Amino acid sequence: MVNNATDLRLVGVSKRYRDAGRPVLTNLDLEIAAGDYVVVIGRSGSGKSTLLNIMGGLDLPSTGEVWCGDRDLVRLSETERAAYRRRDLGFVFQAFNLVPTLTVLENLRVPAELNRLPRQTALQRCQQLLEDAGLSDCARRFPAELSGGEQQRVAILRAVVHEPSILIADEPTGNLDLETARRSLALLEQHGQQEGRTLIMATHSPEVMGRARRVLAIRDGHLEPADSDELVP
Amino acid sequence: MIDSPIMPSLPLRAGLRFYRRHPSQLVLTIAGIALGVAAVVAIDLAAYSANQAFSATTRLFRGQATHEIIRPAGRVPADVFVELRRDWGIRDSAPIIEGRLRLTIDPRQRVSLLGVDPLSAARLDWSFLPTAAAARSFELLTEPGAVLLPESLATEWGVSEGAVLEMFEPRRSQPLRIVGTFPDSGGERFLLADLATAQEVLAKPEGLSRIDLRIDDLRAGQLGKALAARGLRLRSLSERAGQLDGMTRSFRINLQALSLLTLVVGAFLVYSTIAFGVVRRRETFGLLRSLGTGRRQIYAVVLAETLALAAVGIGLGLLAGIALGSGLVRLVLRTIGDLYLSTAVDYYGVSAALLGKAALLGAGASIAAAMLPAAEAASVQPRSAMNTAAPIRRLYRRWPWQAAMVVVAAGVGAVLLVQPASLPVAFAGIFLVLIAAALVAPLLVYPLVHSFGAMAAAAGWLPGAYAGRSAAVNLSRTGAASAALMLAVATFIGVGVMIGSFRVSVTDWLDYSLDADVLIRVQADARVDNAAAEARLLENLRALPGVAGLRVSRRVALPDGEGLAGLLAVRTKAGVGRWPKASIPRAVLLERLASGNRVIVSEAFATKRGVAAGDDLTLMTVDGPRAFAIDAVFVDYSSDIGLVAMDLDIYRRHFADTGIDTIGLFAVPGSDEKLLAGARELASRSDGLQVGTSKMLREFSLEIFDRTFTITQVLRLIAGLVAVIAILNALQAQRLDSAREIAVLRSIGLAPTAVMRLGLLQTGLLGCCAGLLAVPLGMLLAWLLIFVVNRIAFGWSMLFVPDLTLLLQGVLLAALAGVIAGWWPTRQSVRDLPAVDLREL
Repeated sequence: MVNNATDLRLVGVSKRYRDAGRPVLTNLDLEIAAGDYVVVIGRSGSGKSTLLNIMGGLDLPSTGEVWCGDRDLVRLSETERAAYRRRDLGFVFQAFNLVPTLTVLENLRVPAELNRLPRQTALQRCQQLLEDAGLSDCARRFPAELSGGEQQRVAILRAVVHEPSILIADEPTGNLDLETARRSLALLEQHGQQEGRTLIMATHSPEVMGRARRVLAIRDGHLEPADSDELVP
Repeated sequence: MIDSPIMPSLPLRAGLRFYRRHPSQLVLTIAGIALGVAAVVAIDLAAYSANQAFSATTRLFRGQATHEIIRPAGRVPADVFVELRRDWGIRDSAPIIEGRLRLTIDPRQRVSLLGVDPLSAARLDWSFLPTAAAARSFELLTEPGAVLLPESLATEWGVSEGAVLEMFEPRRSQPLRIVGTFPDSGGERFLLADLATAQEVLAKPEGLSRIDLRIDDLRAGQLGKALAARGLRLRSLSERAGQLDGMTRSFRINLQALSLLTLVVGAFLVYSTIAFGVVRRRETFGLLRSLGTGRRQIYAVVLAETLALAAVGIGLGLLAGIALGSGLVRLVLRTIGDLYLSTAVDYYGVSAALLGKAALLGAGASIAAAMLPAAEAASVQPRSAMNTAAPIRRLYRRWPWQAAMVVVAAGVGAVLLVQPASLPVAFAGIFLVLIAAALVAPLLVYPLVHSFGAMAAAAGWLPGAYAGRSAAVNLSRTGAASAALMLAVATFIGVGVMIGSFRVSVTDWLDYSLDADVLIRVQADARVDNAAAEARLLENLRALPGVAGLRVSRRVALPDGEGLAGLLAVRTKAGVGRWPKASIPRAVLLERLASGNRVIVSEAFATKRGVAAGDDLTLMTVDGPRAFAIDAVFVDYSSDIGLVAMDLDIYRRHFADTGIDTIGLFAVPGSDEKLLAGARELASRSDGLQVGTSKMLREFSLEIFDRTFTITQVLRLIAGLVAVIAILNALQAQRLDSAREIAVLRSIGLAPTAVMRLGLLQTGLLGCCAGLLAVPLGMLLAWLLIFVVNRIAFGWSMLFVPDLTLLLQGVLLAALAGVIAGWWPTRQSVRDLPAVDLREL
């Protein structure tokens, strides 16, 4: 069961980086209902990561509003945005981004403990997740001692250990081979499609696109439903 | 190895662009070099100014004089001056009476009063005479209490012609009237008066302090022999200048060593930055190598970058050093004035050689520090460009070399310290030991922080586990800075323990040497220069209420032909008190001293002259040279030139000097106040008796002691500042490296305040470890300063008193430095949105 299922809504969001000629995102409007499964596609550099970062409260738009339930992330302080990321969000990166100096178990404990779960409860939940994912043996190992696929699966578990209402994954299989990517995606979808949890993923995987409820494409800074030919491998 | 044709300017330009992208790194490194160079320049400048000042004073008040006539024990008879002119035909001569006094206008500092015959002095071309004194000669000669002032002193005191200066000593009510001023080069603390005025104001006995004269070497030889027969000594002024230089040399070398240590800390900072730059650009170097750039070119590029940074740092350091030097010179000169000479002079500008030396030292230290990172940059293989192996692995890959360097540095250092031939050799030994410690520091910090991380993990404390392990992993980046911080804190502890031990030793010595309760200083105008007068005075003193005993003493220049060390003659039969502190029982010692031609010598004297108990010391008595057996070596910090002590009656028998200087009165327990009141009452009825308490003198002595070490404290502060900059620099570097990690933690929901806490925990831990390692190193440094450096420099032995508070302060200082230095980089890491760091890296 996820915490406080919430809708996500973007209103007139634009993003322009300093020293960049054109805006990456232009006047985007988007609504994602709680429990939705949305895939974002687009060419490299089209702005997929920027869009996910903005929805995840990791970045801010140059203009526009980003609503999560009744909170506009743009107007929140950084501490309040941190609370949003801590409670409502799980983020899976392409580069795994596990903390290299913490063991697998400790990496999982970080969001659990940040959400003030009692230590014993947190520990049990982390161990259960690892066991379910077949990663129990990795608990005391450091990320550098794992394969890429194992690292990504741990990163997925870290993103869901605190039962967030929104799970965002930015090209989670981009650094993995086909078989490993498949296992990781299975795990991601298993946790991402729990009741009430919103799953937003940037990917090039046609299989995933096929399973998603909505597929959106970013073209020239604009967001629109993907054409059918874009869904075909 | 064949170098490629790629233009070396391209990699260099890429390197400089790298620093432009990391301006804080650039600024901190330049600041580190600048501070190191500034410390060297400032200390050199202060020492240079001191030397210049002595020369200027000599020129001002010695004119064209080539020699001086002095009497090792006592004063030069006035008729010697007459004989010089009449029998030897030496017209270029001037009689001088010199002494020190306190005035109400500035009672904290004594000034010198120089009594001269203006007409005689004019023959020696005293530099100011044509302008001022010549015009005022008549007034100087005829008006009682007339004095001339250097213009700088008149300005300092805010007085002008016609003003009256009151004496501070209550019994000396003779006022001095300013009849004019004379130009000086600044800071001279002399008053000039006629001989008769000086005699009267200073209450000196008959005779002269010295006679200055101008003669050639041939005549000097003849005159010297004739004077020696009368117990007088003809000394060349160049010889005196050499002796003065020798007196202050140890003091200057100590300061220079401390300033060089600051530069060494600065060099660690350079190492830290360049190493950081190299690690961050491994990919670039690999790429350049794959494009055909040779190893030598890469090596040269890194050194060129370093030189470019160093050039800016050195330039700023020279300017800062000149500014700092003008402040330090006053501290140096005041200390030299307190300890050695009565002159106190001003800042004397800079010399190109001095600045050149500091610039070369700065450049040399920077290049030496950059050599290792440059070699690492040159060793990057084209194929390994993308291989960013864990830094700690590189750290350990280097360890055999590092271990070898540690062993060599520590070994050579230890060898130099076993029997150091001179002070510079001793300091070279200490530097090598410190460098060995600095090299080994990162390898010692690693297990400390790693254990901390492991313990925190075992306890389930995630922030502790993260902080400890990250600190361990980042040691290749922060190791040099930790070493710099450890060195600075070790200096803080070492110099602090040395000063503290010295202070305890001096306090202990004061308990022995100022053992009387009341001290009576006997001035010349007390006329206690014969047995009957002395007996009368002592009888009166013994009759005072509460007297348990008294001790009479006389202090003069040692009649050994050099006249620099002191001779203390004490009536040992009195047996009261605690003086002296020596290796053999006091009662036995005093009995032996009273029994014949025996002396005891201070530790400084024994070291400087290379004598020990059992040796003989030849002194020039009225009957010619006599050998005195050295019975023991005693503790004395009153002079680093040395002091010899003997029984007063033996002294009088050999030197025909019946004067006394000081009478110590010992009170019956509980009668101190009564005795003091009685002594004051007696002094008020007598001429030439000044009454003081040992307590006052002890406080005054400790005040001078503390003042002596003010400059040392300033240098400690600078070294500490460089260390904070070093750690700040390293933590900036570490921040850049761990920015992604922090961004990831923030993406999980770590709030800015939690990021700050985590960052400060990490840097505080690093500082704490550096502080813990600095404790044993600081103690070793203190031990070396006390038992090696001070023995060579001053010949003193000291107690070794480790102050636990100081050790704790050192550790806290290091932890605080880590926290302070970590604040800014950590603050920066939460300033941007997490996406910025996730995207950039």
